[in-house]
Amino acid sequence: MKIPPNFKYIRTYTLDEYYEKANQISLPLIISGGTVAVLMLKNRLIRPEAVIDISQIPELNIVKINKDDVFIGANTKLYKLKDILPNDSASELIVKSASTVGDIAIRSMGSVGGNVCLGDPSNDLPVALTAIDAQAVIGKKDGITYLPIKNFYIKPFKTVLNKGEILLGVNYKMLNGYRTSYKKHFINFLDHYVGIVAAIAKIEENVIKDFKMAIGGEAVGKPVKFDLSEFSNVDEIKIIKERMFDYVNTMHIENNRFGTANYKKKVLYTLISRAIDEVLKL
Amino acid sequence: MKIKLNINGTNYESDVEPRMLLVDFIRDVAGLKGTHVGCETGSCGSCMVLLDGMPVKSCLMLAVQAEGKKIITVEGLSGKNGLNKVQKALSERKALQCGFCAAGFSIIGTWILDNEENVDYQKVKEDIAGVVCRCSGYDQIIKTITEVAKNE
Ligand SMILES: Cc1cc2nc3c(=O)[nH]c(=O)nc-3n(C[C@H](O)[C@H](O)[C@H](O)COP(=O)(O)OP(=O)(O)OC[C@H]3O[C@@H](n4cnc5c(N)ncnc54)[C@H](O)[C@@H]3O)c2cc1C
Ligand code: FES
Ligand code: FES
Repeated sequence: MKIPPNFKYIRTYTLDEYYEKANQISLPLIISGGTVAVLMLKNRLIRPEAVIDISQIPELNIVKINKDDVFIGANTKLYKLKDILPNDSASELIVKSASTVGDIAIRSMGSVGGNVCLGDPSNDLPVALTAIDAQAVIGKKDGITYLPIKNFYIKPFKTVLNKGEILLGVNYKMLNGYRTSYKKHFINFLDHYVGIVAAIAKIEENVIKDFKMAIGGEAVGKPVKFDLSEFSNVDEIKIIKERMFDYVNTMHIENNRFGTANYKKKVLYTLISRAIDEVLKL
Repeated sequence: MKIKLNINGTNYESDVEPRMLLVDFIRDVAGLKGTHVGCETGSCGSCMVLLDGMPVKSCLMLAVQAEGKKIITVEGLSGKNGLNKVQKALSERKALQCGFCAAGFSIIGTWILDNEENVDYQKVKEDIAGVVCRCSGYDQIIKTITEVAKNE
């Protein structure tokens, strides 16, 4: 039986209380849903002095739908997204991505903040959020900062968050009249995703008005954003695919336990090709 | 630390270490052994319980996280009249073999019955994806839950 190491457990009810405790403790570990935090503790991958439970902080449990943008509080459970987000295209892409996370029991425990902050290349939401140019809303003792999600990750399992900081939530602009596609490829025996692709495009009378894509997964380590707005003709699908494949070819992709570099590139080509067909084909 | 958990309508109060997992509280403090421990990694669903009506994997949760919530285990699904509809159907149709996974499928099946609309084979297949059965081929389990849900 796997038992976590000993730690102090601190439940915080306000952000101020969180900042105070997190700054006092030498090695704190935030816990929201716990699906990954508890697993890390059980496997003794981390031995925190204290586990700080943030699930009762009201600011992290809200979803704000404004006129043009949406704020999703970090503690929002993944399974709730499909019922609470508006029906614009950016939200649709987020819902598509969130609904592929684990199974319903994982989605009912797992939070948006936990999915974004772990920095595991297999996490779903970071790729969808990168595609729609979402921002991380970061809280610290002396204020709030906004950072594009694509700049939130340093390397696998390392984000820009420092001790005492916290992800308050994510913020994104609503997009209307877009087509969306979300694809991923799983390595069953390793429980990880080799490649993830999120795409969103607006087409009006055969003209591409806007086209964004992000790729992620173990192949690339952290989400990578592509701005494809230079393409305006849907007949250019072949050229767009070639451009993307060229780009993937130039990326530094390693041979490791998730597969050879060649295999991972092929997975990415396939996912990219399918996503492009889904959002651009008339 | 002292915690009080509400399981199947009964309050269980105990002095536990913060590192105690919910599944261990359920089995060892409350003495409810129907909730099993399998993979311990959140993959097999043998430890599944309902937490405020939603299915969760109790091996991935600290007991202290469940304070103030209503927990239902497989024992809590059956009422005065015995097993609930899902449990009865799984048993009558011999959908299971050794039964190690029974708690997981009873919990998720009951959640499907209470929450999902327009239930069909495909939907049940997706919903039960977090529960593993090493004996059966799933088909009979999916058919059973689908049929019970359709007859609701
Ligand atoms: C069986 C299984 C299957 C899974 N399948 C998938 C999958 O398909 N796709 C996927 O993306 N994920 C998957 N996961 C991973 C995980 O369940 C999700 O990423 C989930 O969203 C994590 O949320 P949580 O609230 O449980 O995070 P927690 O476990 O509470 O936290 C995760 C990490 O984030 C940190 N953290 C949490 N909230 C904040 C915050 N507000 N600010 C700063 N740091 C924070 C914690 O300190 C911890 O390091 C799976 C997990 C399991 C066990
Ligand atoms: S023991 Fe909890 S999911 Fe397997
Ligand atoms: S009946 Fe044996 S594990 Fe399911």
